[in-house]
Amino acid sequence: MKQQDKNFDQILSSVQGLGTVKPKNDLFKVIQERVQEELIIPKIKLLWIAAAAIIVLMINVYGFTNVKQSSQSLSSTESSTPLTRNFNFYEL
Amino acid sequence: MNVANVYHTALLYLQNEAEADEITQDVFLKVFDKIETFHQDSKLSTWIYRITVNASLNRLKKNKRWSFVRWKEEEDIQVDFDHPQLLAEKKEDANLIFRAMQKLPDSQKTAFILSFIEEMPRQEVADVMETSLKAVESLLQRAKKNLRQFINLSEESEGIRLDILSNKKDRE
Repeated sequence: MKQQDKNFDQILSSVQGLGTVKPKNDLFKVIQERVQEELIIPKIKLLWIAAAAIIVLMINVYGFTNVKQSSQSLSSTESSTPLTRNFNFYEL
Repeated sequence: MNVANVYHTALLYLQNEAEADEITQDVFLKVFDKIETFHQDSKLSTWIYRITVNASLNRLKKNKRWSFVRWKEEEDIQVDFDHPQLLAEKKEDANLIFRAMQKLPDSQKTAFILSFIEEMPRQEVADVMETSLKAVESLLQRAKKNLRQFINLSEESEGIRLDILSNKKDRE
C-alpha cells in the first residue's frame, strides 16, 4: 500500500504546477478581428431597427388616416334610419 | 491575466489545442460584450477565469452529447493528450492523470485544475467557483482520491488484459 501511495504521488506530481502554454501567434490577432466584427454588427442591427421602426410608423399613419376618412364618411350617412330604436327587443 | 492564461486553462479542460483556441476567442468576445455587467467586488481575472471555466465545461458537455451518438468510434480512437510543457520522462504519468481527469465530476475537475495543476491560490479558486475555501479543499481531496481510484482501476484492467493476452499466446 505504501509503495502504491508513493507511485500515485509520483504520478500526481507530474502535472503539478505545469507552466502556461503559449497559444498560436495569430490567436490575439484573430480575437482582435472578431472584436472589430462585433463592433460593426451592432451598427447593421441599428440600421435594421431604424428601418423597421419607420415601416411601423408608416403603417400607423396610413391606418390612422383611413380611420379618420371612414369616420367622416359615416357621419355623413348618420341621417339614415337606425335598425333598432330603443333596444327593447321583446316588445311587440 | 492574458490570452495565454485563458488558453492554458481551456487546454487543460479540453485537452485539444484547436478547441482551446476556439474557447479562448469566445471568452474574450464574451468579456468584451459583457464588460458592463462586471462588478467591481471581484477581481477582473477571477471573472475572466469564471467565464473560461464555464465555457470549457459547456464545451465538454456538448462534446459528450455528440460522443454519445458516435461512442463506439470514440472508444476505439482514444488519443493521448500531450501537454507541450511536459518533460519526456513525465509524459506517461501525466497521461494517466489527464485520462483519469476526464472522469471527474465538474466541480472536482475545476478544483484540481485550478489549484493543483495551475497552482492558483485556494482563495482565488474559491472565488472563481463561487464557493468557500473549505469546499475547495474538500473538492481537491476528493478529486485526488478519485484519480487514485481511476488510475488503479485502469492499471488493474490493463494487467488483466495483458494476462489474458499472455494466456492466449501460451495456449497457441
